[in-house]
Amino acid sequence: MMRGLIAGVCAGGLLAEACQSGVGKPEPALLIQGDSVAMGRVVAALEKDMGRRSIDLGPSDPTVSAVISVLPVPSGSLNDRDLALPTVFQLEFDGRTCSLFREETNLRIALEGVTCRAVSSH
Amino acid sequence: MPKRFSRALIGALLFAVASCGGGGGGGGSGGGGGSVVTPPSSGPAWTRNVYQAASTFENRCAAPRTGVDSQGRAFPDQAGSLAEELFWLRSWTNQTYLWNTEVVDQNPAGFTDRLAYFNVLKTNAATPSGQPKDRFHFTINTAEYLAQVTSAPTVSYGAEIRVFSSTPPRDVRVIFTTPGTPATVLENGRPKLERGARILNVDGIDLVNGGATQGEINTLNNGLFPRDVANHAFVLRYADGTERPVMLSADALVEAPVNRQSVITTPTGKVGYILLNTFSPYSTEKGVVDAIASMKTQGVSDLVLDLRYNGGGLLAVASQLSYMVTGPARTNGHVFERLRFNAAAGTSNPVTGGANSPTPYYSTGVGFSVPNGTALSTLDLPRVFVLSTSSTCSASESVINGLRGVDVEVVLIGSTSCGKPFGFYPEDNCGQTYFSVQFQGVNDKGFGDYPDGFTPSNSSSANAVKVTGCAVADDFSHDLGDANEAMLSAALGFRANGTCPLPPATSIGVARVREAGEPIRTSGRSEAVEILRSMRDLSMPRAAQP
Repeated sequence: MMRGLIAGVCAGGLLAEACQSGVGKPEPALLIQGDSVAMGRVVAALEKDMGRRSIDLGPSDPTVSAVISVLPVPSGSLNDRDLALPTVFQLEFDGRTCSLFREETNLRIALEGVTCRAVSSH
Repeated sequence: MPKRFSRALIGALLFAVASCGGGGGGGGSGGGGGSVVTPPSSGPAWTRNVYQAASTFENRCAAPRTGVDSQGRAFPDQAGSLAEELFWLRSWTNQTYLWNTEVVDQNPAGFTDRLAYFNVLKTNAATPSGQPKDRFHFTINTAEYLAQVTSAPTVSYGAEIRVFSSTPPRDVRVIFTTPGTPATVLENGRPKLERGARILNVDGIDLVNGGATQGEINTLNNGLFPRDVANHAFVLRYADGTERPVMLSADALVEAPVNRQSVITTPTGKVGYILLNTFSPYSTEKGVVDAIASMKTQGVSDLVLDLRYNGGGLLAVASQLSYMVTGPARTNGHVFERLRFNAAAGTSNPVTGGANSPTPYYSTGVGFSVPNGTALSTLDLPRVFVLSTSSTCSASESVINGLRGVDVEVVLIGSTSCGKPFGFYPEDNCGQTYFSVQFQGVNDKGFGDYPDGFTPSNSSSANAVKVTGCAVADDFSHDLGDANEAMLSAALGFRANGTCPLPPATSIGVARVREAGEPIRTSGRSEAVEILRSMRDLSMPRAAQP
């Protein structure tokens, strides 16, 4: 419960220094398990954050890459000069919580029930 | 969805400004809300050339949708009126349309239909050649739009079928086939469908002169452009004059952006050939990355990009392809394409409200189908041959223009490209999605004025931008990628000795004949797609069979 509270506060971008207290600085991370349960939780968190009922992830494997891309809603052949790009998140771990960090908005999504490890730990 | 976030924010800010100024007349707008809005007791007042923020009228609908959209989000529609929809169109056009100062402000009160009003919200100016400056203004019902933008497979034979004449005597031909599809299944040692084959009969109905009843027309349409998985009987006349019946299976197929690729060995080195028919599906990124990597492995010293049927798509992938062709030395410190919006936008993007950021030369995967950050291989070429026709459009033309912007020599072989240096952000309001030109793409040198297209330097086209190369008609008598196909052959010849074949004796102009008789559909695509395509390609097959 406490972890969820902290994560929620962190996700809201509030009390940044407090979020760092007792935990390390978030650094690029990998999922320890990329099974359907873990990926389902990642996808659910992204869907909630992006306000979409369903999302499709790009080709990265989060067990080997810290970068996760979310595909934009297709705009089809009518848009012949389409500026769309995937939305890119970085998987990070602060020693306690796995999170997804979106650099363009500077927002962080805490991932519940997902285990990860820092890239540098391997 | 950065656009949505930013648009909502901008909407909120604009509303705040309007409120401070005493304008507006109700609750907020801009993509969410949930607050109850009372429609104004009287319609908005029109004052010539005075515009309220579009957000004032956004999502105020004469017939609000209820429920959720395809993404599970509640429709943002609120009770409103036709007048508010028209005022939204007027203000949105004023804020975001590229040529907003050329739109004659008309009182919405004179209109009873939103589509009719949208149709007048554009410039009436012409390009140097005399064609309308804005040929790309269109709209589509949002539900229909969303239905056709999914990446799901569509039913097809795996062939592009083009209607050159939809009324008797009809002329319908196979433009290209996709390897590994029902179209290319061998029957008696020959693919069922071949480029250039003319379709004479469909499911027992004479396609050329038949179709006397609506039932027969329906049979023709259903066979040519099937919507369901099924078998259909065709009679074909191939490019060599041979006729035969074939049974074709329409199947659910995913479009292959890279249709084919090969390496042609010449006395002066290996020449790569890539037929890229679209930049739209997300799989295009992997397709071009893999194709270029293969070219690099095989050691090509020149490249022919066949974009003759490529109508554009993802600009980022066009950038990646361009980067992979020429490499970092020519692209470092340069941009692929900048966006030019209307003058009032200043340095901002008036659609997103964010900064007007250029498209760089992407040197890594961006995450559509190649992992983000993956380094792209490069051919490091100082020149590239591009095969073009009037179907070569938009993002495809960006490849030509972008590479010329960093002094890569583009040799253009074929005919004049479509001339669309423009783009838009499709915008839904009240169940209708509007496509209104909002930006012009310019290259690193600031050039983007090619509304009449790019054309080979020896072409007779007076107003298109001349590019070194050869005017050559599309050759339907040879398969694409065949070194004897006229456009590819001309590219190889120009590479070998710097000369062109004799240009086509006559213009390969409009072939859409209007005669008595029932027209068939011109494709299996939606009407909106056809509107776009019809602006681009009406060329007649070379050496057409009778």
